[in-house]
Amino acid sequence: MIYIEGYSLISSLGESAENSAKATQNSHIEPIILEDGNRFYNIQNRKEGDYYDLIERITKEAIDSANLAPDDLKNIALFLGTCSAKLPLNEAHARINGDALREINISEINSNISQRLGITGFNSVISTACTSSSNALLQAKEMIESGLVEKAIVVGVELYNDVTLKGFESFMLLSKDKMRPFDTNRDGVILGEALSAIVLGKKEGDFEVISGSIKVDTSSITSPTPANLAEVMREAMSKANIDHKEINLIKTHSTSTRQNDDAESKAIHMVFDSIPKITGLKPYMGHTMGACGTTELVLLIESMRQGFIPKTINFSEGDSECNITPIQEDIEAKEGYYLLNYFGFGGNNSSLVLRYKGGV
Amino acid sequence: MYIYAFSNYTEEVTDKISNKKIHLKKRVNRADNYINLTLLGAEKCLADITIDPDSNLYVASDNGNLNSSVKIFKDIFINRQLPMPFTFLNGVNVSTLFYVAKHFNIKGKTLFVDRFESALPQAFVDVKNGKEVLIGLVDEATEDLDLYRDRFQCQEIEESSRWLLLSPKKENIQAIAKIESISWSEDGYKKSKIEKLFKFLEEGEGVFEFQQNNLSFLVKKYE
Repeated sequence: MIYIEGYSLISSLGESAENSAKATQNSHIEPIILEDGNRFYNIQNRKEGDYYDLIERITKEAIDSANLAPDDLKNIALFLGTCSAKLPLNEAHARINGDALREINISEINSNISQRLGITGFNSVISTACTSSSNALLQAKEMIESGLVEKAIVVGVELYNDVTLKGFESFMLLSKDKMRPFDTNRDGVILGEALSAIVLGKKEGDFEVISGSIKVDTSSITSPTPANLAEVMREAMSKANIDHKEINLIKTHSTSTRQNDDAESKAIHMVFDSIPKITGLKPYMGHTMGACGTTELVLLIESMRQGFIPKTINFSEGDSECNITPIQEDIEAKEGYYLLNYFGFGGNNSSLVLRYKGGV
Repeated sequence: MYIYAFSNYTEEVTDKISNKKIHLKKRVNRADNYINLTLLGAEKCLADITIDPDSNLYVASDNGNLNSSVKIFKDIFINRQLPMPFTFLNGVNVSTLFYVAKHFNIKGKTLFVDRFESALPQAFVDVKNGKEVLIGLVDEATEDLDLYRDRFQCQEIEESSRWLLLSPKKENIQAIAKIESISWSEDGYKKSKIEKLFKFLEEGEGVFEFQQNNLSFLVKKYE
């Protein structure tokens, strides 16, 4: 059995997991409006050239949260899930003279962080767009279960870059207003930056990562198909040996684009005859792309540790195509099973089942 | 973990990068050089094999999709315009996974990882769990060869698309080789180079000891 032994988060909501979770209850940070008119959820107080310092910090904070000793770092795996990878570093060169490909080898991210923190085990960078860090988490889980490593640190990193923003703009996927999951007036994504890290191991705790499923949907490179998303959710629950009726809540991927929310809601209706409670967390801090796997998981479990599950903000009018109403008020965090969905570009989809042993 | 098929596609680039599309058995619309290079190596590996749809796929790369990145950067930072949507899409690593999975009807897990040493142990875990795994190691050159020489500080340029089909032991099918004793060492930053491993699979006999960065394993080839 694999448990979450420690975690950390830096997001637009706050510079720690605790503050980020509290911020969901108090004031909702609005996105900034960039020079080109696009909206973005940024981490505040960033410093020039802080790329590696931020990744080191988030990793160190998770290590400290799990009370790991230096010896624990000898046979620990370091997984990093990222879509932005070294784009922020490359773009710093490009802004000066249009120079491309100054920072290429993405293995160097892990090498750098391993050296800074004295981590000597296996390491891997996984880059599968929106599912990068959720996939990294599930890979880490399987590697611990196989006995190859004792523990793993899974880091999700997504930092501002023009390439992703302009790429999304080219596909006309960006919202001009707010992210509104499953709302009939939803108009797209607002991107965000975040870093998060999770230490996985066998030491029993309140949060158990029970199972997960990663599958590719080759029907369309840009549009998910409900049957494939349903299959991923079903497989995750089947591996957990639980019935869909046992799921307390689904943390949806819900990017607030017409196609994605449409497909995810249809998939949920295919799997669940009675829909569990649903919440989408992206309206709080944007779509943090490669980091959203670990970032939304940390935000959810820290909120649960504080006793609640955050409501979905900005929802006002249901879409008959989706026929899903996410929770409109914070609810009490209950013991039981939670399903988390991460559905990405290129048909790369994953779901994981979390068991919460604390709460009421 | 057993090797049931492999390919060792490499191409020296002297004048310009070649058109891979014309050599593919099945062509893919909108695919760029990196995706075509990936597919070409994978087609050679799976030439006479129908892969189990439930298989997993890893594509590992030191540098990823260079040409689409150059085009996207040029559009955004020099031409001050939005990238072409499908150039952006090709530049996202999952697109390569998508096209390979679609090409060979793979429905399992697909992951893009940073290097061979990252992919192989993860594949080992999958194989231990009973899965068949296809691993590709793919690196392309840039269309602008001077740019490549400058960034990689080299004179000779090679594109490569090397693949392994890994699986638990199969009844009635002879494996090419067995991989065992996978381990990490703190001080193992030696280089034995990936190309030597594939050369061994093509021409070697006996046992090959692979060690690169801190990963090591043995490859025992069958007669």
